[in-house]
Amino acid sequence: MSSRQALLADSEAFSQLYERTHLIVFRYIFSFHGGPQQEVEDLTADTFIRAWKARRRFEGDEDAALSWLLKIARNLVIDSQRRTKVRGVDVSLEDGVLIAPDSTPEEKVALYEQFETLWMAISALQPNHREMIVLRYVLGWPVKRIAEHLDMLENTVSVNIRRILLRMQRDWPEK
Amino acid sequence: MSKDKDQSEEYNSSTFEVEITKLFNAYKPRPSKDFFRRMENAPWAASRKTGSRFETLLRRLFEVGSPSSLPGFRVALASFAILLVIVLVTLASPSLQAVAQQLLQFIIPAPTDELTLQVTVQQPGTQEPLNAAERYPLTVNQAEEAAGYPISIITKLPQGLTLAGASYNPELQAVSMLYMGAGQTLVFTQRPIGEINEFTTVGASAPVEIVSVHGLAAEFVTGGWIVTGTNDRIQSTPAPGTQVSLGVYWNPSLPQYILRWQEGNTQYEFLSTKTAQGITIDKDDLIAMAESIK
Repeated sequence: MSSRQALLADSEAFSQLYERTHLIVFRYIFSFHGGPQQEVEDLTADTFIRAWKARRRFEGDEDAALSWLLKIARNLVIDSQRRTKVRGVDVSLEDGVLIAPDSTPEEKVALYEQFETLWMAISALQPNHREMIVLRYVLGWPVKRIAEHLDMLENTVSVNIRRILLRMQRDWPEK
Repeated sequence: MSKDKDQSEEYNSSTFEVEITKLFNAYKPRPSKDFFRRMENAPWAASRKTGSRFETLLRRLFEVGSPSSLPGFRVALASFAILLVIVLVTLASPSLQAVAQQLLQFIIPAPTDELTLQVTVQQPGTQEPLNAAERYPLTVNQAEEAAGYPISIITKLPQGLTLAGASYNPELQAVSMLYMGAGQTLVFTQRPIGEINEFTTVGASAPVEIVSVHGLAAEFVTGGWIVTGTNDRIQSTPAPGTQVSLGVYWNPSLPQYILRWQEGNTQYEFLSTKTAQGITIDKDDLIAMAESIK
């Protein structure tokens, strides 16, 4: 076994990977899939179970391990959506949105409305475009890392994200 | 969010991206308690159960050997680690826990003021004390990001006390912030109330005073556990596998104060320790700080 393979060889190492990445994977799936929460949690758990079963075949460093997990998650999300034939949004915004404690009720309502609009816009995107937006803005990855993860040219990713944003902006409802 | 048709598409796009980014930055969903409960039974989780957590706490216990200019500093820090170790002992005794919970919400008395702990060192630790800045390498924003829930901060601090850093403990889902200065350290810990019933354990004779924080019942204790007889071995950082017997006793006059309370779904704790000559943070100061958190 090589030292790279050893990264996830034992349960302690995998456990540490889980601790470091489970929120990232959960948020990726939540944003890419759209909910409901129970289904997102099932998919997150399935992602790690599949990774656990395949861990001895994994080679790479920490970044590669996260990319590997997200690719497993992506396949599970797409399979799930194919099965259900539904691409809706059931995000429980009140649970996931950070709101300043001194926000007024009006400000809270306005923020939730903006989120609903945002999720509708994201859910209308093609899966590959939605993934780019999730990686860029939910996970905060730089374009270079997204390009590596998706095996695309950096410029292609950059141009795609730009176009997606322009389209979202065009379709964004006026106040 | 609005579009300004009078401006160029390129400019609008940049503005739109900024606003989208702000929205996404406020979006931090996290799994439910059911998810965490379910994942505790995951195949890789076996090594993370009691033994592993105990090992982590023991590691902390053996990281208290840094020199300090104030006599008693070491034992005060050790007492914090002992608090955590004894938490496990207490959790292992459901009947004691049940009885104690009838009396107190957050702080549980040990059976006596003196305890002997048999511990096995699993891994040697570093030499950083528990309230050393090195243990709090994160900014508040980074800790909040790691935790995935909004963090409350103290808005009114005693003069001379400043934020030194933050940390996140994924096992307890707890964010801790270290404040230092003027001869005091203050560790402010908060975590969502979840599956892990984490309690602070104090000596049997320690009076636990019920005080009010924003009208809510909070528990206040003065003192800490002192390690006796094995400090030399602690300082030498024993090798993994070493069996160590630790005698500890509760000292109610240690310059250490604990304030614990619960608000909404969050549990908060202040642990203040006097480390040198300077200001003294007393009960009223802690309550004032507790009422200032936002």
